[in-house]
Amino acid sequence: MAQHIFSHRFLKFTYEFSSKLITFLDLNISLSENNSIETTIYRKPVSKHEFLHYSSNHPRHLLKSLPYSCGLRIIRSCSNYETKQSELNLLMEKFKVRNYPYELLESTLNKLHNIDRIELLRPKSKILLHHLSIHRPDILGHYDLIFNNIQLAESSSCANSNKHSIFIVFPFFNNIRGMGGIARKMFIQELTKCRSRALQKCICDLNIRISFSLSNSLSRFIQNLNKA
Amino acid sequence: MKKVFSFYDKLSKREQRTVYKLYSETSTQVDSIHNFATPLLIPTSVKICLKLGLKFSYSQKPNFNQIYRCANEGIRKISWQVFYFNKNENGMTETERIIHNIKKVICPSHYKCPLEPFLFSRQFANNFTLKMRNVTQKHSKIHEFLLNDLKEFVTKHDLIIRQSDKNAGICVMRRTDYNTEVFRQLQDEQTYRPSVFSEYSLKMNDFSDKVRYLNNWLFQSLKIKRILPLSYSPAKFYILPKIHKSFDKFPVGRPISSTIKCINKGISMLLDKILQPLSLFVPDLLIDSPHLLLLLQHIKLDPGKKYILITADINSMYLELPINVCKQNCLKFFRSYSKLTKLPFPITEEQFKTLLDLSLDYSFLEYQNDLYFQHRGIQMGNSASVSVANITAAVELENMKSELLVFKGRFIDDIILILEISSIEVPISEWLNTFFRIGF
Repeated sequence: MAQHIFSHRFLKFTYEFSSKLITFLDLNISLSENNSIETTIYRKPVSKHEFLHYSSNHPRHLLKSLPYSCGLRIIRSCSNYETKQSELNLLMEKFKVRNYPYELLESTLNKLHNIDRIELLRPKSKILLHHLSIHRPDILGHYDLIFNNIQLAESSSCANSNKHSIFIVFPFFNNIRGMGGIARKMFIQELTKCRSRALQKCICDLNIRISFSLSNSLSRFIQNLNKA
Repeated sequence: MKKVFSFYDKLSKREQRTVYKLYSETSTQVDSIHNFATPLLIPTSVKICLKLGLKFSYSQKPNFNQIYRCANEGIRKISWQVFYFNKNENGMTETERIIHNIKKVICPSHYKCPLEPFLFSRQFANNFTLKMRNVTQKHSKIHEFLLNDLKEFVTKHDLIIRQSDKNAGICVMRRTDYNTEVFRQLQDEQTYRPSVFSEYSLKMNDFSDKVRYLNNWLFQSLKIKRILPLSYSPAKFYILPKIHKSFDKFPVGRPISSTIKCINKGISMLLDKILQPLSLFVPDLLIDSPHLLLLLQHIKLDPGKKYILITADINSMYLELPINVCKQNCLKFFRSYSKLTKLPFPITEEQFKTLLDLSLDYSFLEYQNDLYFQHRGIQMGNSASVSVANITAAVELENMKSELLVFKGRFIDDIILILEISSIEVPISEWLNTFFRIGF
């Protein structure tokens, strides 16, 4: 029988049970009367959900994509249409408090309404595809996916990854809006002036990328105060 | 406004407008600041800064000398890359390339490339900095006076500001209270023991020797400077107050050690690269919540039967896993599955064992210049900790099977089970007590 199986010599456990609703990770998982599984998003009651303030000096594309990606998470987690709608509206309210413009939130909401949940749940990351190919190939078959093991091994290889990318690091990227684009453009323009044909061929293969480190955030300022 | 901000009169009209805008924007927000330094009151100017959240980035005039240096470094990097591409095409052998790489490691900066003058004009770095000067924002998002107020408030009252655990707001604490909680945790002899600098340096030398011994096979695929940093320090210990749990005067802290500058950071990352593909062979592993959602979507439960949902949590898992057991289980997993998957680079069992030793045996911590050694469990900030814990728990819990199990998933220390209980006649809570016996 099942007794005496779920115990361990040094690991101790705490457990909760219910025949209707439990919370696990960021999900509320419930069983309906006809035993179908329904999920909604779960938020810890203490969590303040302080999203990044819109007037922060982060790159604009990041601030604009934040409501969209949070919305995607809600669509993925909520299996019921009505809860999805109310959760999305609640999310937009929270962004409004953090000074996000009305037009941006409105267009994001319209964009989110056209997204299909089943398509969103389609496994994409290579690590997930690999795990499913070993243990649940039936799910991959359901999505018409065939996965080759070699792909993962190549992608996870630490050697030779980003072989042709050169990163130029600017610590104060955030302060200058659009600095990444300007820097990349200026470097490439300068390189194309080179007249040597042999070198030109090599220059075409280059992949110049600009990276930055966040230096002027409030957390760093406070960290330094804490150290003092 | 003059009553709220003492510096209001010193500002220009434009600056006054900015400060007023910031004030009106933040005044409508719910207060998420927890003040543990009562009876001290937090002034409005400090509250405004903290309400913006610690991730808020304010702009300030950048250091243009630094930008000039960065541009020069960019020129150097690009020139060397073009140099190697060019050499490669002209028949450069593998050995020559390695020699060039070694030269780069030995003298990483100031090693100018001969191609630089052909690719970039002399004035390029200057022009670049000038362009950046023109497009820089002139005004900061938080005024200097506000930051000064914050600085003065913290230093005058000797406070510490930290994000609280589970994203439950920002905590303002007195340094003495914070230190008392930190030392209470560090004085737990079952987990930590005090150490001295001589022991630390001895261990670090031992570590460096072992890595250099492994150099022959490591160097082929990775640069040694990534594995063995030139400058290193012990892990920095800090706590995040758990304000969601009940407390008397000061909340209990979640211990965290920041291992970002540790000597074994590179080794742990390397070990993680090997363990990650291996951990995919754990059948009940949950990678993230979309993975769980996908699995739940494909479960079909019989409408005529009775089911129960259970979540179980392993109590302080990282501390409870003995290091010896972790090593044994990871080795066992490596032996069973390393041939079934393609690892990032070829590695023998002996080498893997050495990597495990190097990653898990050097858990030194530092708090206020005092050294400690964590002798129980795996370190919380170590890069390989998640994979090691996943594999160890998988081996330890592999015998926990039942005919009644419909679904089982585990995300590090959280377990979800769906059991079919139609045949159970006794009350559920009573039955579960026997099902999970002493352990659960």
